[in-house]
Amino acid sequence: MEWFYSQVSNQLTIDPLRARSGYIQQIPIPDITPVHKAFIAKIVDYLIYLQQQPTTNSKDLKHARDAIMLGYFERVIDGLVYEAYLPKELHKSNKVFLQPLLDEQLPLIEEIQGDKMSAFRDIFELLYERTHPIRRNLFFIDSVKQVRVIQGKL
Amino acid sequence: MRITDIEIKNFRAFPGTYQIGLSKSGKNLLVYGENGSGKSSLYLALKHFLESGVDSGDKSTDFENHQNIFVEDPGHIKLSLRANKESKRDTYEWSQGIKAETHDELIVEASKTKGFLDYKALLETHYLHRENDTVNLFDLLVKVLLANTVNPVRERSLAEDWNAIQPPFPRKGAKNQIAALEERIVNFNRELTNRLADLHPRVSEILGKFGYKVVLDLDFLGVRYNQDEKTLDNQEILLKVEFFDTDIPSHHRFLNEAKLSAIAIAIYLSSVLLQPESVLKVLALDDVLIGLDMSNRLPVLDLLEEYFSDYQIFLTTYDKAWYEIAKQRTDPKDWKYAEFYFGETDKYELPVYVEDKAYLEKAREYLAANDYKACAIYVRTAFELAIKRYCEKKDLAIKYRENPKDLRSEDFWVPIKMETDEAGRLLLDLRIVDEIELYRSIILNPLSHAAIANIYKKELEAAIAAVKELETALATV
Repeated sequence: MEWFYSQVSNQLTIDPLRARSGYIQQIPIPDITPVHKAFIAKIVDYLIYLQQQPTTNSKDLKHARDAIMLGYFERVIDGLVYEAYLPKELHKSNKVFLQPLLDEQLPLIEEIQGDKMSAFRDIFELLYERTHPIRRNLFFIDSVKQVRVIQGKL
Repeated sequence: MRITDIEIKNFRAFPGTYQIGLSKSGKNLLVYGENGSGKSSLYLALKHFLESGVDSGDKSTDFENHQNIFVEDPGHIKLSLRANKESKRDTYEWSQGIKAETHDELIVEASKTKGFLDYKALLETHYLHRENDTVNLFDLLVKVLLANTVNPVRERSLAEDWNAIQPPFPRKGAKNQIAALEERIVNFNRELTNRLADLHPRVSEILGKFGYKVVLDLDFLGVRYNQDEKTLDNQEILLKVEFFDTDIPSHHRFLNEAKLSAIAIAIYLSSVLLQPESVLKVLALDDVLIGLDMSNRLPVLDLLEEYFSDYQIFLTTYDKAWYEIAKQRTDPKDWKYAEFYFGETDKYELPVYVEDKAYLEKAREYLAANDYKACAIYVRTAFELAIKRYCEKKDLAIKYRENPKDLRSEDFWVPIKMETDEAGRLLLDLRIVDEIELYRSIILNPLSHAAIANIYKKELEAAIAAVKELETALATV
């Protein structure tokens, strides 16, 4: 969004970019499937819960892993959003996010029984494992040229 | 995916064009080179080529900064890649004019997973700060070994996270700027803590391969910003070692430079293994084993085989003895051997690249040049290598000698020729055994070298053929 907005709006000489409704309205909303939309909503619910937990915001390094977990779920959303906007480009280079996440049959937050943090830690470790397609595809997403342009790496 | 050909033109120490073929299968490369002979330029050619696909903001990937200073003709690095022996070859070029080719996904992804470690990085182990029986690894880890590892959340390297909290620091009273700095410090501390936690089990496992049954504890409490002094305090990662479940109180006595080098190599290799895998995987170690004694270098070959078998490995060394040992311990089917020598013209210095060939091939060349003594030595070396490798591969029992250096070729040859299958039949064809026995007495036995001048060319040709036949037979038994 930041990249697109920077392309259509007048930039001030200093940050932040000017927020005008005329520019914001030009941001295209991708036409995604209800399943894709519902999955993003599921991870957003995870994030909302996690952001309210003391350990994910703690500066105490014994909780460092929980803070990383929060950031990682945000990256998962980034992947789903890139896939929504650039499906052809991502799929051409085997960067897929929705399907491997669907394959894991992750629960809705209200379906998680008992200690939710413990369940989220298990989900995080599963998706964070170096051979998991989500970890791999997030790690290499910037090898897709269009993503590198958006991220200012090209 | 493997690199099958490297072409280096007018790059750093290389004036002119140099071609290194790694066969269609993309072999690993073991390089011996005198100091200043160009082996580090080869290492940098590969490293900068892979990095050139990513706009890092520094000048290291501008080819003009690496142009050989003695020639004006623009240079380039070209790498040819194949998915397998049968697939077509794709060539990528990095030069002053062409950069887009290395922006290809394949190269960009390989850049993120590559492992490139040189001897200069390990020199840091000699300057580690030791105090009260502890060793502080902070600088070595943050600025060298883990500097290029990528943060899985924000896609930044540890070096970038570290640079983001460096001076100039905000002035006193600049609350927003101080808060922003402290936020960046918190992120850095979390990232480093997380990385150390991920590394921990693998490092101890790899150190075990060196023969050190120790558990390392990398104790990091987090750096802190000192507003009064405007300094970053607590830059400490303290190394604690547990040896067979016993904490070692005097680390400085246990942790000599050789062990610290082994620990540093284990940490680095573990960090490479933490990354997701790319299609093209490259690991280059430029003289990094020189800090280890010979007994600790051999395990490195074993662990490369165990953990990095799907990586294409580039090993360089200036130690000729180690090069020869590594040659014998690696399989020519998977490895190519090459040597760099220092040469000079009336105008400039240049590397001389010599492809090292299999011993029998060398024997044939010396035979063609009528140097019979050299030919005989190479035939004998090929014979000894073949029987030693076979004994090791098949775990054959050989004669005990108190000093392993006293082992003779007879000690390996006898169990091979007497080896039988379950029905008690000899495994090796008796005709091959007879041929070898014949030439052992006149050519393959070291004691016969004094009389080598009396050997005829035809006997050498026959000895080469016999050893070749033995190699083939042992490969199929």
